[in-house]
Amino acid sequence: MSHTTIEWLYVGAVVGVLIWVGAIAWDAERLIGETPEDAITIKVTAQQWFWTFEHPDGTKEIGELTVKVGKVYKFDVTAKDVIHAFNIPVHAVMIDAVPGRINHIWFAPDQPGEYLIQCREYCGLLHYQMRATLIVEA
Amino acid sequence: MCLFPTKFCIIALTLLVFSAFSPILGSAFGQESEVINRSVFAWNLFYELMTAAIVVGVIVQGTLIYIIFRFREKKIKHEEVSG
Repeated sequence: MSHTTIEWLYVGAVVGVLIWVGAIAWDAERLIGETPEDAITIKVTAQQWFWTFEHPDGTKEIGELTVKVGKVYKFDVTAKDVIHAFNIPVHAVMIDAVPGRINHIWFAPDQPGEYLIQCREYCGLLHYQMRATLIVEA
Repeated sequence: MCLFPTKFCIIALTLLVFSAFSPILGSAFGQESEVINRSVFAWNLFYELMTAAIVVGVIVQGTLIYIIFRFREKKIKHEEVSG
């Protein structure tokens, strides 16, 4: 095998790996970014130093959020004062809560239980206490 | 000497790459949204990319070690200094 052939094979292999990484990154972005159509929208409002959740029927919860297994939920996340970040560590949910802007993220709980919701952006003196409970009912 | 011409090798390799990745590409350009477990999905992606990185690393390092060993400098006997 000549040197030229080896070099082209090397170039081809590198290009192949780059295409592969690009394709799965694109696919991941699509799967995580596109909200399923049947998602239930919950408005999430952050303010120093607690979380407010509003369901589609208008009911509000403060400091805890109750959802059901098997349903898909879309969060419309915003803030009233400073920048926060809405984070459910177990479900790999995290997005910034920015005043004057609504950010979107979705998730589908598949196990009942109680999970931590926390602020993941330093937002002031009691940032470390800005927590809530996610209650997933069967 | 290569058994096939270089151009043939390049075209064959390109076709091989695209045929191997076409399911992923097809999925990536699809429009349907799917319900996924985000945590499981992220860890799967992590393990998949780590496996790929390790395989590439082993191939590159193995090739380097082979080349270094294959073309190593031979032992040279020191010439005696004649005085």
